Amino acid sequence: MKDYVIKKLLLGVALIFCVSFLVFSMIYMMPGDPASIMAGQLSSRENLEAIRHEYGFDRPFLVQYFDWIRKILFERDFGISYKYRLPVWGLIKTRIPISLKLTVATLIIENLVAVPLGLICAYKKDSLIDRLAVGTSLVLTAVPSFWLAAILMLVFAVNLKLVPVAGFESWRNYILPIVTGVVSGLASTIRLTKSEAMDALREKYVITAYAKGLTKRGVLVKHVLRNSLIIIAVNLFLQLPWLISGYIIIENVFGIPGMGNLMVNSIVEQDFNVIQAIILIITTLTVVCNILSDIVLGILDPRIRIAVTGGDR
Amino acid sequence: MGENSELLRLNELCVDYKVKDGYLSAVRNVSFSINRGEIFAIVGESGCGKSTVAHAILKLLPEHNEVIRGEIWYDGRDLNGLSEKELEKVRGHEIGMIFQNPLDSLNPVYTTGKQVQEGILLDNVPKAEAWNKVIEMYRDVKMPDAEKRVNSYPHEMSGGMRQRVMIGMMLARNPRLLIADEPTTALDVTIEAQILKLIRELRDEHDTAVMMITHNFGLVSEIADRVAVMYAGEVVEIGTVFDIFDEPKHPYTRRLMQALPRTTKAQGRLKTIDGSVPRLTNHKKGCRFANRCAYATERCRTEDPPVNDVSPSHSYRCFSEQGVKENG
Repeated sequence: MKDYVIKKLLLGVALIFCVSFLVFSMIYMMPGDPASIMAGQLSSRENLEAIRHEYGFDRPFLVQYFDWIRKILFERDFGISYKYRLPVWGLIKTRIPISLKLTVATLIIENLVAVPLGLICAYKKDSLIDRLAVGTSLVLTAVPSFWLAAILMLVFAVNLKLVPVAGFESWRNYILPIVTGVVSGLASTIRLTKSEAMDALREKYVITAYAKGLTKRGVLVKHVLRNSLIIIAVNLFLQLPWLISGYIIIENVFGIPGMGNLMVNSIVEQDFNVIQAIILIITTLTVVCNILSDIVLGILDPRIRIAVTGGDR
Repeated sequence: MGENSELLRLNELCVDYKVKDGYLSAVRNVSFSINRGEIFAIVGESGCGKSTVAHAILKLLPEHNEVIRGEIWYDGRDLNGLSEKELEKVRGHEIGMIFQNPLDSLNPVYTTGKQVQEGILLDNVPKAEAWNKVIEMYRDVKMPDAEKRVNSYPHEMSGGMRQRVMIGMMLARNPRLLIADEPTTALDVTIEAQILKLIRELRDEHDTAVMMITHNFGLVSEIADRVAVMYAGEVVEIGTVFDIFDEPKHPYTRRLMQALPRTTKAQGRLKTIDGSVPRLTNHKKGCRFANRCAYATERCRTEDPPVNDVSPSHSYRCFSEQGVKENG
């Protein structure tokens, strides 16, 4: 297991480096010049050159890249936001926890609802509850999240006044955004759980478990659920980065200052350093989630450890 | 061998599968009994319903689309009338069952020892004691390195070892009957011989009756005390191993015997049985072997053949009362 984790970690670090290089060169090659944005359109040629020199835009590409990486790694310095004229890290720092709080809470609640439902749907396939759960969740998922967000806001915040309309100061502000997020992810998790559990139910080891004398409940929990959990757990970790990008719209509707909100604004303003930083953070998060899901997979499924490392008994 | 003390008796057992266009009669009017400590083999070709009989006894048919009729008497109770709750107490505790492919039959995410322990724990045994019992069972089934192997996962074991685990798992709660559904089909011949030897030894030691499902006549002659031959969902002939091998009466059994590989070349090429097993969607009367039988008459196709007794131990289902002549 140790070899397996180390191998996964090394791969992850290499991957983050590759991505950072791609992100940096992508921004470098993009049309539009940060110096001219900072100087304003009517600035003189000398002034532009001075800004270029001051920020180091006139140095060779690779030098700029390694300088950027060095500053991020050792000084946690992602550069200066051209728009706000503030350090990028300062801008992002306060937004990461807000976005993470939203997404993690959404993921946990969504899985707590969807996994048991999916299991019941698999066990009582084609029953009323199966049809209801699958049908309803499918309809809800098909509803666009910005529309759902607006409707929820209208009903619960404006008319019923149960929760505040917008803002992020109290936990009650998070209720509607989380509900919106949970609803849009529900169907896929229910379906995944259901199909995994149905596969597991057809496995021969389930018959063995019954033949051993286990109760229905015992078989369902110890064999069907336990084996379906492998894929469900992997799915949970892989969903996280997607959710963060999915929250771009929801954050904007509810006026929550998360990463998605900042990203949209920065793209509009061509605030390159901020865009770079956010992309880098989201990709790092994606890679970390991938590593975590691989590790969880290794813990939950002993066959994987052997396949990857050739066994470490 | 128990002195004719009956452990299990099937009485006119029928199993129908619900399919799109009605019912498929997989097993029809199967009756036989198994005595304590006896090895009883059910032999027949693929799809003849022998596995269905085995699974129906414990209601372990995987698709849940079956209708089971008839009586399954075990120890004074009709298992077919039991509720799921009551059946849970019979499974593993009274009747154990092992399967064809021991890799599929073990859960890949638990160590084999844990899976054996899981069954023992059902008898309210303390955990540590149950674990010792697991190691003891591994020794009983002649597992090399028993103390280490309890911590192995199924994929770390060979096919033979996995089947030993299955046998250990199912005998751990001392059932009086072990149903073995083609336990050696997925194994190679040398391992097969070891597993059969093990089953026989365990039978002798614990006086556990064994119901052995197989398509292999060679295996039957080696291990069984009595045999039922099945064809297309019916038992066509039943008797002791000597009855069946020395004096097969039913035309199907005879043809099967001719299809066995012999040791000498002098007997020429192997014979095969022409035609194939009919699809049994409707409850038609008549002998199910009639379309492949060289002796079939009009009556065979329209009336159910009677059961003829040759001796108290030997009977067959055919119109021909003396059985058919050699070389049919």
